[in-house]
Amino acid sequence: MNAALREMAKKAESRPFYLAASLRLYMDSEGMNEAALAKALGCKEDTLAEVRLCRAPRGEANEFQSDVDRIAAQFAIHATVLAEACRRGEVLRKMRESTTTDAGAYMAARDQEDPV
Amino acid sequence: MKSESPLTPEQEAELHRRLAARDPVAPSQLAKHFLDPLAQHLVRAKGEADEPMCYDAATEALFNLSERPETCISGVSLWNYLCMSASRDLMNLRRKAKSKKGSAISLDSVELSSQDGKCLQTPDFRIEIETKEEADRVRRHLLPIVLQDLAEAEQQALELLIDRVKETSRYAEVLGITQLSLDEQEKIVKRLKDKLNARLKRARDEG
Repeated sequence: MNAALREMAKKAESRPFYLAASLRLYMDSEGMNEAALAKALGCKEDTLAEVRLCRAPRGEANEFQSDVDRIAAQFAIHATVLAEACRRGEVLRKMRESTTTDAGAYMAARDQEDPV
Repeated sequence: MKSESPLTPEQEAELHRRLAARDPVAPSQLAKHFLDPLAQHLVRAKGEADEPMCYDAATEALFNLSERPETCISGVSLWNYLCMSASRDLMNLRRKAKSKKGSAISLDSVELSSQDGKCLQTPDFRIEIETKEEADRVRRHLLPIVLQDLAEAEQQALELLIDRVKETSRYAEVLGITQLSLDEQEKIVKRLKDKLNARLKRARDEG
């Protein structure tokens, strides 16, 4: 088991460029660990580290499916499970960003309203 | 000190092409092929750094190249580029670690980084990098110009120069000229340092 590659995949969770970021949010939302996700995708945990270090699929529908199919074919994993995990993860990431932005705007507005 | 790419030049070029073409699998393959060799290169080359830190630096260099493959221009070896980039990242990590231990970092001692570097310098040359945008500009424009057409040994010598290594013997080792007399070694190393400094200055003006 390549521990270094798994560690790198873990660090990639904080970078939306990587599939690891979406998959982390998906796992958290499902209460899954890596072993469970690997099983759902139909691969070993070592392979999952390599999957997580792929670039996240692009946003446009045809590009998204093409990228998912490319990754699924490369690692012989279930494309439908990967697509669902990517979509869910991406939605969760955008919701989180939106919530953070809204909270920031709300606090800034409150700062302006509050008497000094 | 001398190390080789885990891939052939043709395989490197193909992987670089796929990174640039946004092949979603390419970043994973870059990591799989280069993470261990790159970290081990740092462990051998920078003996005083600990292995986990070398892996952190290698990881950072691989992230940066995957996300911005255009920073390594065509014709420059991915391996040599990654070695340079990871060395810079390692120096930053070491300085940050020292800083956490309480020693203040002077502006003079901070190296190039895509994240938060302040300057790129050798004993005879210095570029101020005040912002992340400036660091990106240096990575995108300056380093490729500097690295272009340099032999691998010269790139390793440049790495030493930026590390501010002074010993002629270290340069002689990477250049493979240790069998020559010390006088000859000094002349060759001096000539190379002049060439590299001139190239850095030219790149700064053009970049």
